[in-house]
Amino acid sequence: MATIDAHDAIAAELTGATPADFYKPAPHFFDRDHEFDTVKFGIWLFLGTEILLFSGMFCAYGVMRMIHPEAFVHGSSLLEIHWGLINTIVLLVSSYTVAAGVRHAQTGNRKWLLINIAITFLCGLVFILVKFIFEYWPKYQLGKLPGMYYSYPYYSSEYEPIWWGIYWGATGIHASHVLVGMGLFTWLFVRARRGDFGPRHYNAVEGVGLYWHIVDIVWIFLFPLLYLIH
Amino acid sequence: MATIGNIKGGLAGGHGGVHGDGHDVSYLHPKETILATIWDWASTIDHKKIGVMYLVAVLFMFFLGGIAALVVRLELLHPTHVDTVNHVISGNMLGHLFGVGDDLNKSNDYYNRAMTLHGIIMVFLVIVPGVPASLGNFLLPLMIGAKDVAFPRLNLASWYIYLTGSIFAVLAMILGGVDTGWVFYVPYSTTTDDGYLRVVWMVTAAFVVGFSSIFTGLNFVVTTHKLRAPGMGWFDMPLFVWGIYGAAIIQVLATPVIGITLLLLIFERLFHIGIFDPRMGGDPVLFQHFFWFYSHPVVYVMILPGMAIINELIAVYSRKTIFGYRAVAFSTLSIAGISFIVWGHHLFTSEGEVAAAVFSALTFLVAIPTAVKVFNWMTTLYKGSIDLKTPMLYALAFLFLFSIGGLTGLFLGALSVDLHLHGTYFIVAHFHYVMMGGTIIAFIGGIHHWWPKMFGKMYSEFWARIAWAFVFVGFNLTFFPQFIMGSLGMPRRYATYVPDYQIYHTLSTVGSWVLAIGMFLHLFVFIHSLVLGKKAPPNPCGGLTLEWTDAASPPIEHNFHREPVVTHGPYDYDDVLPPQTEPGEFILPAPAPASRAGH
Amino acid sequence: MTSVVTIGQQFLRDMWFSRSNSTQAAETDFLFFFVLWVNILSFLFLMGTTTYFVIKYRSRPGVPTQRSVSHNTPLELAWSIIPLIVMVPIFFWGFAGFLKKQAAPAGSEEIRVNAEKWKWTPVYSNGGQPKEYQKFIHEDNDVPVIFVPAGRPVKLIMTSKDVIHSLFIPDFRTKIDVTPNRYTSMWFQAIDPTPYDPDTKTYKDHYVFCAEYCGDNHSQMAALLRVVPADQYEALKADLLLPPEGAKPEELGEFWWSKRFGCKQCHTIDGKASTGPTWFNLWGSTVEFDDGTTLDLKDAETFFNYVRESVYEPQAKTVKGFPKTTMNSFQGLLDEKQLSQIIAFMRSPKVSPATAPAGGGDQPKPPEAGAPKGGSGGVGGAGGEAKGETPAKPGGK
Ligand code: HEA
Ligand code: HEA
Ligand code: CUA
Ligand SMILES: [Cu+2]
Repeated sequence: MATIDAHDAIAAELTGATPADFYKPAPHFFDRDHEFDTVKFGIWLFLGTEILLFSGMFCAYGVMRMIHPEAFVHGSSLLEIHWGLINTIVLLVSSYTVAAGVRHAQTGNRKWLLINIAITFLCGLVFILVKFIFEYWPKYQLGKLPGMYYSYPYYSSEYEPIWWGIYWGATGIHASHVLVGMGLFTWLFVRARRGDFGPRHYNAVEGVGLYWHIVDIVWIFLFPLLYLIH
Repeated sequence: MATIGNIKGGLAGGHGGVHGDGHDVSYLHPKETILATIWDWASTIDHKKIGVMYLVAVLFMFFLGGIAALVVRLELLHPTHVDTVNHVISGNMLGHLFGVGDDLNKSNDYYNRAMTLHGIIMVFLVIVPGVPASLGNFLLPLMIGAKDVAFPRLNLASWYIYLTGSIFAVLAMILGGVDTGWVFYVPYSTTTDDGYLRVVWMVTAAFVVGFSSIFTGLNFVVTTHKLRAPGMGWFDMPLFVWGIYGAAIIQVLATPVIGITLLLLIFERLFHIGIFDPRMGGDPVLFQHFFWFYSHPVVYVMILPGMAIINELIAVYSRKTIFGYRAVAFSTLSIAGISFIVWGHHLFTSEGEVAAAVFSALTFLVAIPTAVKVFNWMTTLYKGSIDLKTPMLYALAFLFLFSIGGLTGLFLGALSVDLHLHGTYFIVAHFHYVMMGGTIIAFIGGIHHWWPKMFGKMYSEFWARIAWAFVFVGFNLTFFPQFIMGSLGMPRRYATYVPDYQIYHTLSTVGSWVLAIGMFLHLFVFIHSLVLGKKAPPNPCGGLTLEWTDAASPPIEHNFHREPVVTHGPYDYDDVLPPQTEPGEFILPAPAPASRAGH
Repeated sequence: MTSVVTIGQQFLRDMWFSRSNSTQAAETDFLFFFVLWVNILSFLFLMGTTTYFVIKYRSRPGVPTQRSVSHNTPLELAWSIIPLIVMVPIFFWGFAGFLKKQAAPAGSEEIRVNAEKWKWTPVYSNGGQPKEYQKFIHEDNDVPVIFVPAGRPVKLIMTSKDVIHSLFIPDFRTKIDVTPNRYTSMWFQAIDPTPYDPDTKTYKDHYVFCAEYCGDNHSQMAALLRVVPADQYEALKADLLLPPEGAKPEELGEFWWSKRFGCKQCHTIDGKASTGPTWFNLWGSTVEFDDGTTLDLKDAETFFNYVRESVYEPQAKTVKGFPKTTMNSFQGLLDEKQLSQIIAFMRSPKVSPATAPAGGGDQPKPPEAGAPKGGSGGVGGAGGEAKGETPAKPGGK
């Protein structure tokens, strides 16, 4: 979308201004505000589809829980709440930093923008590491796997493989969203260093920020549903 | 119809002027070398080129799906049948076609794969993306006076995603095809072809194509909201835009659900997670609910763009404003809304009584807004000046065929009758009448209508009308007997059948040949037009929407030479002489009597 | 005039419907024709008016369009409200008919129907199965002839062994899905006995189709339904293919294996390879599973538990060299008594000549429900058998 002509680039070199200061909207928009509104609308719509995607997952959870409550109660008591809690906190922190990042982009504070993006990225990384090292891996080794691959010998209901199916399915799809988010933060970081963002142009930061909030919110629902309700 | 003021003022200062670097030429103008031209198309973010590429791809897929349909019909002409008295084996067209001789199991299997391939291609690769991604892409920005869709790169991405999905589907086909039926019902789809990955490929294809659908829909919703030319209010938009908009909303809201459903199906198939697997305590009917929660709304994704086209065709070729514009616009929204709460009518034979009652009642409700549209189109013709050009013939065929298809939906909504008709050829006939007789017919009509605009060439009116006649007759011959045999008890997805149904199948197969002749004629008419067609004037049909009044045929790269100046509504044929036409070509009606002058 | 209408009706009926022969069919047909007439009238109104307009207002060179109003609220309301009113009775009749098709009257004759790819197996309340089979479409395809009494309600209680099927009787205008792991039911009351044609020596039987896609031979998965006079029904029922009377357990087991449950299709008793592991000399052997573990089937209790688990929880263990997902649970299809008879058959000299004499003496008692948890990895322990005949009901409907 952003196009900077050569002329502007030279001007930027000479004056020390960033590319963001010369940002022009794509030609099919009337002006920058128009582009900004449009992009934001699009992003919200996209996030709506994300929420719908996860609602499908939550529906599956609800129906399966209704049919086999015992499997879900017992299965969820096997999860370690502390890891879930740590991850919840990590994501909440990252939600704060990403919001701060957007504000710094608006005020043109490149340094703090970078710091906040970096922290958010690291939070995502911590989340993933905790998830994989302390949750997925031991479960994998013990055979607490979905459906047919289930082989954990201590269970109270023969339907527990379904519970693990839901657990792996829901957290897996969520984790893949976290990974995508980390990719997006890397991209933002590179662009922010180049000085692409400023008060006149911070669409991308805002968009990724909103996406990250949705990923957080989904986790805020997943955490109690999977870990807390016995 | 409200008059849109001069919108030029509102634009002041917005756009940079014309760049003067060749943007004034037709968007079809080739680059210096062939390679450069190919690269130009492959990397284009111009909605018109993307629309044309979609059009070609969708028609190609339609061709593939149509061939599969002909194979299906061929087998049913004379299916494998072993005369148990004389021990004569007869029929088995597919067995011979694929060289498996008279092995009934194998030829049944081929039939099932051909039938599934046909269903999947037609639904996921033809009719859902069809109209919006091709004509919609091309026309939406033109009609609302924009230079492009809101997110041009997303648009291109969506095209490549569609391409990827199609390649997956073709790959699954090359690997041997799948035999699940287009609805992928579990536990059949999770157990069939055990040890092969084809089903996973095919489901992945549908999943991937879903994303292209979401992106297109999202793009169109945002474009319609944000990119309308200043001064163009919601009720000044052409009804085509309303239809595409309604469909886009459903695409955005329903497709994610099929996304997660197909994902769970893939998990189920690969990891046997058990959610849908009755052997592990899962619920196969849950899958059906998930599937139809998307796939019912999606039938309106299919039909709304078809209806959108019909609005334009009827208005232009009868030179009348659409009767009850607002009612038609609102009925689009209410169809979109109600479509989300009727999915259970596909499950009358597998769900409980209460659910069935609720879904049946809601199903009837969805017929009301459709009735409003149909009757308003009928009344639009009143006192018009009806010109039976090919597109108008298609619009009339649409009225005829779609209302048969829609009305037969009422049998299916009635619970006790559906217990008889479910899973029979009556259903097959119903949905071909609405999908083929509705959407595809409208689509072909629309292609004819906008052909001169898209490619700058005229087609042969005479031959197009002949082709229309073949299609219309062939279609009815193919699918009307299916209503009768369905009601007589012929189940669908049957590779062979008892002799009682022979006569209907024979009629149907012969019909499919007539239909195919018509389709191929159309194809030749189009090819002929591209090669030898006369150059098209900018407004051959006398339309009043912006693509006709303000753009060249074919449009230039930035759509409009000047920012469009809209001084009339999209259908003000009573008061406005169509711009860009020959003087004297169109005549205005006499001025309104004084008593109604202010109307 | 009336005769024209009747002839017209008769013509339409013959065009749209096969003969009807159940108490519900007439009602369904009535509603069908009501909708048909509503449709014909609305279609004629729509297309008639359209055609009239197209001819009257065709464009003629030099003749301008006439002015007309652009909308008319009363008119538009009329064609929203009239269809709405018409659809109210359609809905109610449809719903009423649906409820009638769902709830069988008390005292219905109950017939179990087991579905599997690709055949229907009816089992009468006395445990009998049809003796008569007929060729259907293909030489290798034998379909059962199901007798039902005329003038008495018949209730079919159905379940499936593998995928979803749907039992469809066109002449009775009804069908219902048959789902694995769940019972569904449907009922009808046939009116007239099926006519016999002495010339061709055949009955004009009613077709029973499978109406839910289930794979290769979906189109050959059929049965023939013959309505017999109520007074002949009991006699015919007594003459069905019954488990041999006064037979020894192993003979009953053989009957279940070959005739009733179709074990025979996948498990041979002579050591030949087939879809599933052979039963030949299984008793007393050592099986090896795909995860490398082995199990000695040398004592009666282990053998019993192993077979029992394999029947009710086929997924629990997989014999080396066989795919994981082939067999479906027989939970709810095969009861404990039949199971012990099958096991007796497996241990008989006919199937296990090598070891049968040694183990033949001690008939194992079926262990108590839930008791043998430790022994066999125990999935079956807490689960199904307490429920006896009812399959686990995951759908909760
Ligand atoms: C373009 C796609 C499309 C459209 C628009 C429709 C429109 C409708 N469909 Fe259809 N339908 C399908 C595609 C579509 N359908 C497909 C693909 C299937 C099968 C899928 C499968 O199993 O493979 C299916 C199956 C299907 C079923 C399930 C049958 C079964 O499997 O048992 C039902 C049941 O209620 C149904 C009902 C309806 C109704 C009531 C409408 C209504 O929206 C129709 C409204 C239109 C009219 C009513 C006609 C115009 C109005 C007039 C002429 C005015 C007069 C009106 C009155 C007097 C009411 N459809
Ligand atoms: C858009 C949807 C669509 C369309 C257009 C069609 C078109 C046709 N379909 Fe069908 N069909 C389905 C969607 C569609 N179908 C679905 C969803 C199923 C259910 C599958 C399932 O049960 O799982 C089905 C099932 C189905 C069956 C039932 C199979 C069974 O249950 O066993 C049959 C049988 O007759 C059939 C026949 C046909 C025929 C003869 C056509 C003909 O109309 C085809 C005519 C087309 C051609 C001959 C191609 C010619 C094209 C060109 C030359 C390209 C150029 C064209 C232009 C430039 C305009 N289809
Ligand atoms: Cu059984 Cu189809
Ligand atoms: Cu539907």
